Amino acid sequence: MSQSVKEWFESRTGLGKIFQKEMVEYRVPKGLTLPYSLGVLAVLFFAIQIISGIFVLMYYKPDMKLAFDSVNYTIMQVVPWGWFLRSLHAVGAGFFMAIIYTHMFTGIYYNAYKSPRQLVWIIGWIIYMVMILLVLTGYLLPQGQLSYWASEVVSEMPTAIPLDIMEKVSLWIKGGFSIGDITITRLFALHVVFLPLLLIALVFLHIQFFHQTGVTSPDGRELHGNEKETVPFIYVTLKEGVIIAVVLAAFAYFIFFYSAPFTPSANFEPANPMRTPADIAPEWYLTAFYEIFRSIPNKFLGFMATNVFLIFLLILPILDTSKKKSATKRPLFYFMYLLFLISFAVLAIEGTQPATAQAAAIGKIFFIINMIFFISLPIISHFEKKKEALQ
Amino acid sequence: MKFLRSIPIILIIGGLFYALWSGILEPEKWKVPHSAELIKAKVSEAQLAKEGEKTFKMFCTACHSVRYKEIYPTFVNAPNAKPLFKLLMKKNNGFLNRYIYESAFALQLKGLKAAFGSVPPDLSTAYVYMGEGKLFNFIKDPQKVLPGTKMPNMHLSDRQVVAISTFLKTAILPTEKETQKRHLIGTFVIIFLIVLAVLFALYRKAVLTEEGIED
Ligand code: HEC
Repeated sequence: MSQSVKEWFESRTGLGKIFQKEMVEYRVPKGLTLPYSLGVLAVLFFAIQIISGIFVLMYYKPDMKLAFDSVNYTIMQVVPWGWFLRSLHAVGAGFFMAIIYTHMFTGIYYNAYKSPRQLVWIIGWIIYMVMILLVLTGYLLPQGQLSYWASEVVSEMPTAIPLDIMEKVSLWIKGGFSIGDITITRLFALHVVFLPLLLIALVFLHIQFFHQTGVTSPDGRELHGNEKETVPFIYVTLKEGVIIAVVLAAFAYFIFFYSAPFTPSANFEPANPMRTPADIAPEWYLTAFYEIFRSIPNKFLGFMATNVFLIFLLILPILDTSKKKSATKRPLFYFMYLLFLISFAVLAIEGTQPATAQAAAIGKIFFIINMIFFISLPIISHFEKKKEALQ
Repeated sequence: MKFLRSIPIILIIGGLFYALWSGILEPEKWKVPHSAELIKAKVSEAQLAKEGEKTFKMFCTACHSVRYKEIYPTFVNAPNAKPLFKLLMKKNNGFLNRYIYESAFALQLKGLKAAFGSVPPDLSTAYVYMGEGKLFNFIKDPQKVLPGTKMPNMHLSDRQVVAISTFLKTAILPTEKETQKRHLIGTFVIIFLIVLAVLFALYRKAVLTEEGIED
């Protein structure tokens, strides 16, 4: 009986075939390390954001005068379990970004950008850009002081490029001469419809592409198609289940005990166009860029410097041409990678500090160290190729 | 050996997140004095909040509102405004959003602005964005915290200021009882997830031994 029901469905849906292909025929190397679970975790937190987002959306009002109260009063105090939904969404966004950054940095560690996975990397980079837009637009919605002044800064961003038309672009983004109902409704539309849809499509492509090429192995060997040293993906989901439960436990800790770091206190002051906050720093996921931007006195050059960092990330597959993969097999690369991480961490931390001459000096020095990592990649590749040729 | 290599990375990434998320980078500038801490230790939060509401209504409602607690400036009770105020409250279940409040009482708010240079802000969320220390010191002596401010010094006792600050806390943050409830639920959720993780790990082990594979 159950067999015929199964067949009835299978012949009409073909879902079983997809399951067979993606969970059983798709194989991954044995002995995958913890960082390999970050992708699954990212998908999980994307799902949490969508679900919790739908619920907070039911009470949120995209309006200059109503947004603040709809979040801090209606959702937090009137709606039963509203505080839980908002915490889910706010803490979830923090976890999501942290996971994406770690996923990206461990991807660099394992050289996951190299042939044949260049397209996986590029799609990943676009996902990262869309994510930044998503968290930014989301950050602006509660219309606290931070939201308001961040929208002001972001919409002024295009004018860093010294072209007349950029003033118009900035006006066009704002929908007027100051942040108003039009701005907030636009950002709202981007945040709840356009960007999530785009992200779903990109994530789908990302997964499809690496299922096609197989994942890297921790020690850098290409094991795609190697039956002996790989296992069907379905067994790995068991390990990932354990990790997911542990991460969710940490997530629950922040939601129920300590959500304050995810809802910055300065944003509990209603937006006030008359009062510029003393020092505004962006959230932690952007402070590194902010530090680079402000440590360079010229606005245009600062803007370009942050872009150089992003472009270098994008073209990693071109910079690093060595056939060798994984930092575990490349001591020189491993050393430079540590410098990269340290410089990024210093930039991110320094970006939260008040803008002083000292902060600017630190910003410049560590930006240069950061660049040295990227510039060293072709050189390291050159040496590694030479060494390989000798052997 | 393999593990050693990942230690610096874990330290850097972990240290970064720790530094960014814990408050260590932004030390609190204003502190609640010891005498006030003693009052908080002695008197229950509920009691202080109740006292605070009374004190607030006595000293602050000439200028300020706390809309999240249904407290509005005294001008709403003036003969020319009272009927409108009562009607609006009835139609809006006791909560006037900013559109309604600022339009209905635009004249009165304009008067306050003319007198003080800026409209005295609604204090529903002040406890969070000012922080307890700054709020306490500001109410106690506004000039010390914000030199040149039009906010008058009301010469309140420590007990009165602590009460007001506790009252403002309950306007935006959950009460002690509610917090305890959330912590209890949280504890259960975390225990559940840890147990789930252990069960999953055991299940995984059983499956892998049965099928004779390693992953
Ligand atoms: C005579 C009118 C008046 C009274 C009475 C008054 N305030 Fe104020 N208050 C103001 C004004 C005006 C400001 C705005 C000050 C500024 O921005 O410089 C203010 C600001 C504040 C702020 C700072 C809000 C912020 O966003 O910076 C707090 C907190 C505050 N008042 C609390 C109180 C408390 C508590 C009382 C009662 C003990 C009180 N005030 C009584 C006029 C008043």
